[in-house]
Amino acid sequence: MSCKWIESVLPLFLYGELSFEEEEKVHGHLEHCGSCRAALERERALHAALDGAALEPSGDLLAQCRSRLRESLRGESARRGWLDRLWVWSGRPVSPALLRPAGALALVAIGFFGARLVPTATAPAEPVAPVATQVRYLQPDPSGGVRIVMDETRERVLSGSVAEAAIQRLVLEAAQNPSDAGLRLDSLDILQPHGDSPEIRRAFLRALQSDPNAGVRLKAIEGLRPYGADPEVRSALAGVLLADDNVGVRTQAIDLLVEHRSRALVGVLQQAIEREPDGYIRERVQKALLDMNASMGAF
Amino acid sequence: MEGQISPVAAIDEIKLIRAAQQGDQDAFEHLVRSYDRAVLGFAMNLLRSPEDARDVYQEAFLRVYRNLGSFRLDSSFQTWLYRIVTNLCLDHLRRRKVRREEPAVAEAGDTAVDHMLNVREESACADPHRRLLSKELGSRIRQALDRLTARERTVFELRHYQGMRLRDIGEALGTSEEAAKNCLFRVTQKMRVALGDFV
Repeated sequence: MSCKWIESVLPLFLYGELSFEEEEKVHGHLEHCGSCRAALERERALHAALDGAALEPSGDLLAQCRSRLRESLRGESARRGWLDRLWVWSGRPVSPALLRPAGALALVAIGFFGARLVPTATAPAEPVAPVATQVRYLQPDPSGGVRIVMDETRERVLSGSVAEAAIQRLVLEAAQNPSDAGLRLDSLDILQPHGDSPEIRRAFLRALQSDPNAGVRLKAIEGLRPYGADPEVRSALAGVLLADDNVGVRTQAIDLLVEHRSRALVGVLQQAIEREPDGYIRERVQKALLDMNASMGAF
Repeated sequence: MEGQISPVAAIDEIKLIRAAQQGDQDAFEHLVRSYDRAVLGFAMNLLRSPEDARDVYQEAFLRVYRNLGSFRLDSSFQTWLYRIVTNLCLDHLRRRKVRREEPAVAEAGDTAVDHMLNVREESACADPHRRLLSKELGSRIRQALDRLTARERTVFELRHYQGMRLRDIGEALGTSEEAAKNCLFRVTQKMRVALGDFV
């Protein structure tokens, strides 16, 4: 390990942006190299000098910004009010940006259908349930018009207990909705008191192992907490401890794993100590290994 | 500022975003307040002009408000917000370059708290020689920062003052973690050259 390499990575070392292996190399080198320790001190002094160079907004400026924003938001909200009322059934606000193309399309559709319907429309229109529509595809019509194929989603409200099969199935489906992490989080929240059901526990395990959103994975650990001794749950937690890229999720995983110690855990902890970049988690792992009279590494 | 949020805060933030998406104004204001001081500080450090920083603040949060409905929560809110703020700041810097304006260096006054002038001088005030050195250091740092490219300044501000991880910075700037790392590395080298005999 050359001093030149160490000096080149010291800035990233101070920012905590080196990999675990690189950081270990730097620590190892610094222990016996005085000139690199001096270089580290110089780097620290540079950091401290830069820390002091930050401009921070005054309280007055921040207050002005907040008040100006609040005023603009009031205007925005009034402008959007009629849209929200129109679309209230859709359950979420509609962005004006999205409405522009939809509006243009609506004009085409009104022209097209209007020309055909108006002359023959003698009966009053039936009230229809609100429907969200989306154009799937469109193509020119041989008569010179346009043919539009729409997907329609009709809103329907269901209520009942999670113990009911139909409701449970829908909540489990929502827990896997790929396009809405908030919906997945809410679903796991609702399922949490029902973790005794194997199907619901599987949903938590699936979310823990494969959900792309760290908040949802954390919620899954919360749901699995009462089952920390279950072998399937422990195996999933071990996988998370070794591979999840979110430090918060790994922290919760180690905390739950060490609540129920077993010899099978030793191998996992020994692997974790080799690859874990976070100091807190490393400490937890080390302490657990010490408590179990196990060595720090696998030999 | 520490850029990482705790697991509990992450869950609370998702709830706030969901509520704001449903039109809850209080939730939106709460969300703004979690980040607005840092956003304003970031814009001010990058643009060195309180007026421009104020415009970026206003435009950034209005864009967040208008587009929150389409934010899908599969990326971090902070990264999404900083992508908006960074683009606005870079637009300002580009416009400034086109107009051949000199960067308007913010004066410490009603609108900014300059730590270099306040904190460091306070500690050195008993010794005129140290005060002079401290003032000279502050001016050297500003000159060095002004000589960085807009992209370098952005990466440095996000990492050093906002505490964001390089991976998130890469995402916010639409580039890779490796590119952000190289950029930060260049900045630290330039700063070391500019300030070497002072620190």
